[in-house]
Amino acid sequence: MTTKLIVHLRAHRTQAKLTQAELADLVGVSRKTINTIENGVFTPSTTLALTLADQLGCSVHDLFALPQ
Amino acid sequence: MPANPISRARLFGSIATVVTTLTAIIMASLSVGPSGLIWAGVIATVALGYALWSFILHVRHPKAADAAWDEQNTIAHRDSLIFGFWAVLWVFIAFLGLSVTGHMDPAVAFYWLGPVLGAVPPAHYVVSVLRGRAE
Repeated sequence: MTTKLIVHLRAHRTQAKLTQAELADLVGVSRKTINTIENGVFTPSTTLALTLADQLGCSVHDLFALPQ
Repeated sequence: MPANPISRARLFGSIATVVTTLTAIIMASLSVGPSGLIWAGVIATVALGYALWSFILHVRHPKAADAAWDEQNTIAHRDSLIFGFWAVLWVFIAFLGLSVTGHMDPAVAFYWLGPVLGAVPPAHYVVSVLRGRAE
């Protein structure tokens, strides 16, 4: 299945007043990975999605959604 | 350019390996410059220098190393190794055909499989970086 995710990571990151590099540092990935997730190029693993949600104080469903 | 020192070393090390190997292949095919044995030494020096440099950086910057080998970069690296495997397989078949038909010395064919094996995965990785699929 190659359904493209709808990604709200950028909105939540900017709401948390974090740069891509700062969020990358918090979750232990490269800045490029945050960038590609935000642009829908890279789909993160469940572990990374949960870590991102945890750091941003929201749920995974707030960050990612399936197209209706 | 990546801010992460490990990613930066990986990118420059990969570029250096690819450029050196391509230069060696072009020079050797044109019969210009040093012998293949010297080129083998040059390629090995570049590759081992990169490996040593990378090892030192991994020891000095463990947190940066974790970020540099995050899931996206690990996937890009794995894809490079898979591409390298298929490239070597196809080059081996091509060289086998050339050797069997007498167009290539088997010793030379065997010799050049080494650089292909070593240079194709970093070449693929550099392309992944340029395409924005890795750092």
